[in-house]
Amino acid sequence: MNHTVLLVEDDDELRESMRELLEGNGYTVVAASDGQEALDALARVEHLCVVLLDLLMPRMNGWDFFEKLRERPELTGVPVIVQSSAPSRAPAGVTRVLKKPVEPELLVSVVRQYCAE
Amino acid sequence: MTTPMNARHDTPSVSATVPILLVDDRPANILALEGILASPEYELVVARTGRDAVQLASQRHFAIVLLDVQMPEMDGFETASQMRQFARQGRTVPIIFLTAIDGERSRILRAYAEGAADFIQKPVEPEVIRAKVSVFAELFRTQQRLVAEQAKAGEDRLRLALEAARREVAETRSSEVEQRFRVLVESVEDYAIVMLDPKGHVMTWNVGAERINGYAANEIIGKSFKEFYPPEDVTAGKCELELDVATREGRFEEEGWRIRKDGARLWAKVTITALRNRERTLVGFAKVTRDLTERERSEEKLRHVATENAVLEASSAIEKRELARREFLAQAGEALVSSSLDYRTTLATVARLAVPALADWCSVALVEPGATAPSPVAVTHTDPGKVQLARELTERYPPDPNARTGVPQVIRSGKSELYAEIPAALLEASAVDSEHLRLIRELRLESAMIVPLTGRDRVLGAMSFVYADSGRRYTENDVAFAEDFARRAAMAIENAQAHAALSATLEFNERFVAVLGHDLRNPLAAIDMAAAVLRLRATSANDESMSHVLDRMKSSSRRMSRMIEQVLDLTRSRLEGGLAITPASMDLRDTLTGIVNELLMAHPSRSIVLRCQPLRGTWDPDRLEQVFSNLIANAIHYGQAETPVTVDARQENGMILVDVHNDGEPIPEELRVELFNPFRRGSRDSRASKTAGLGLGLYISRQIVLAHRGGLEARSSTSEGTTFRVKLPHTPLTPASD
Repeated sequence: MNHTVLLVEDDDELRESMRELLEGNGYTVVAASDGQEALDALARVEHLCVVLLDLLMPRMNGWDFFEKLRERPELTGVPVIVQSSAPSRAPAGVTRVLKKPVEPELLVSVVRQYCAE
Repeated sequence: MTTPMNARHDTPSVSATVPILLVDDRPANILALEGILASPEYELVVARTGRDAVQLASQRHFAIVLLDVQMPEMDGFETASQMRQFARQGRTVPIIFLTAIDGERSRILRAYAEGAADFIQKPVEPEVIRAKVSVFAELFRTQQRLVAEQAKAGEDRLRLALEAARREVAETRSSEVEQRFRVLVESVEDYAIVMLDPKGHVMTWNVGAERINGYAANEIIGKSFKEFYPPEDVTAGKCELELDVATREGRFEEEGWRIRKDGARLWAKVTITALRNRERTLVGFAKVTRDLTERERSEEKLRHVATENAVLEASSAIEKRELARREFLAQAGEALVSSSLDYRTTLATVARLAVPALADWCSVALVEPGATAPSPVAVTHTDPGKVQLARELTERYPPDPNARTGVPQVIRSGKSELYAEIPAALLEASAVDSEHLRLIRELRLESAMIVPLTGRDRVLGAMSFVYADSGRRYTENDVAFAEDFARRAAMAIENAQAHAALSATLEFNERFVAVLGHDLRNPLAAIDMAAAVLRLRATSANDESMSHVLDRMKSSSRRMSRMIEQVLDLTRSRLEGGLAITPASMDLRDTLTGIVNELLMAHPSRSIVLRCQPLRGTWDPDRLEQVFSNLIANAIHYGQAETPVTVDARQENGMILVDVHNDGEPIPEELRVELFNPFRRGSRDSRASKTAGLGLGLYISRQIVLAHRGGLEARSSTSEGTTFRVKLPHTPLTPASD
């Protein structure tokens, strides 16, 4: 089972807290602050198990990133978890939608479903 | 102005002949007219007295009235005046006066003032009279044809659609009927057929509505039907009044102006019918609108021809001036009403309309809200070069705000100033230096008046009218006219300013919701995550005191998160006139069981008794969970620990009733009256613990239940304890959109 989480979130404090929490629970985290950075990071990521995606971000937002991600046949199997303050606006086809603020226990348990520690 | 005499003929059938009313007290004259106009195309109706003529004209719509001026008892002018009073506004009959009196100007003027379309002197020339009558007859026929075609085409299509619907109903299973009927209604083009909820929000939209009102369905559904009304009607509370009448009398009907999406006005016939369910509860309204703008325009054209004729006849300078004033008032009035939202542009239009008929130079200065000195918003001049000069003049030599005459003084005092003649000495006295004097002289000011734009509680600005170089002079009469107009302009400006302030508030509110909904959640989530990281470390270090601190931190951030959701719900419900729900098919028992189990886990020492059969219905599961979590958690919190909280859900008279009950101290009397108010004081009372919220829970619960078209009430006494009762219909009126 893969163990690397791609975390896409533009709020620095939130992103770093999430990263620490997931790393503290034994996962590998690659963090990006917008969709473009996340696309670039994909080249470096091995053993990707899940993408945690914010929607409202500068430069490239979550919707556009999700579209680009789905254009890559080798990554179609990767689950995408959206976390947003407007959950009803999440793009169709994502694996799960979490409403902000996401409780830490919930975040960890969702990641645990898809990733090896 | 409606009177019992005003029998209305809204959809006249196309008559084969054109009805013409001949009014003369002398049989010989009538005979002569009948001879001249004898034609199978005309139906000649005769009246011998003014009184008879008024009576006849109030009963039917004549293409033209030929009216003798000199009659005993009621003369032609009086007759015309009464006819105008009895005719519905905007539907005056063209009148041609017949008189033997030669060339008396004042009489001719009075005739036009009474709405004369034309004026013929006796002895009449048969050719002249035939030609004039044929013009109006042709207009009348065109207008009638138009109305009849519109009515027929529209009604035919509606009738066909309804008949088809009836057949469908007879042949189809009832589950399909509604769907098919909806498709039919949606495809009707000639009528806007719209369903409104009880508060007037648009719920359905058909092709006709899109064509007539200009909105696509997704742009208007969920919005208030006030969007279709002119702003002045909305301000006057007309919309509420209409729904009120429809609610009380079952039906509201009128012809009036409405607004399209692009801002254009349309003359519409509107019927609003109250819709009630089997229990006679109001569930909404059906609104059917027909566009009659074309008919109204053709009538306007008729009036316009009349005006044009009048212009041709009126030759003296005084008459022209009077007509120019009326023309100005009509056009400026229209400009003020139709584009009142952008009042600076409107004022520029008004200033332009005043030139050259009423002034060679017109300018408007306003004291904008918050400013102390007036600033020019519009300047027009017959000679565009002079506009530049005038601008330059105001920029280089701004008017002294303390000057004892001129615009600043008019604004201070609210009193008009008239300078019938502007003597050279006055110019010299007001000039600052020789360059200033040179510029002023170049404007060649000859006569001027300045009138205040007086609002409700302050003077908003001033309008200046100047004659230059054209030899004309203003009189007291002109000042009175200008003041009258300025009052109307000031009203329009104030309305527009109020509107601008309102939109600023709305914009602020929207921004507020965005901040609350989005920007606050990220830092809150970050705190939560950081606390969880520390908790991991505390656990591995076996640091128990740190764990307690982190527990409190977590509980506080959860509480804050809940508060954000509540304030967001409150703001939405206030801004949008209620909370939105997304109904889905569900079993209420599952929801209640889930909540009870969760609360029992959180409060292991307490007991909750749930009595509930399977209760299926169409509701919003998340929102109902919110309601019952809130009520049951309250019951645990405020109820006495020794007896169980009971939740009793059942079906009664077609409604679902859920009672949430706890024993113990009742809700204090003074709190009961405002139990469902937001931010109520009770949430700060001694009974509330440290985990108190904002006092929004019950308010929001009730909003949710109301959005389901249900009810929420409370009973509380020492002997019976406290019971909150939720009443829900099996399904709210709005079906799920998907």
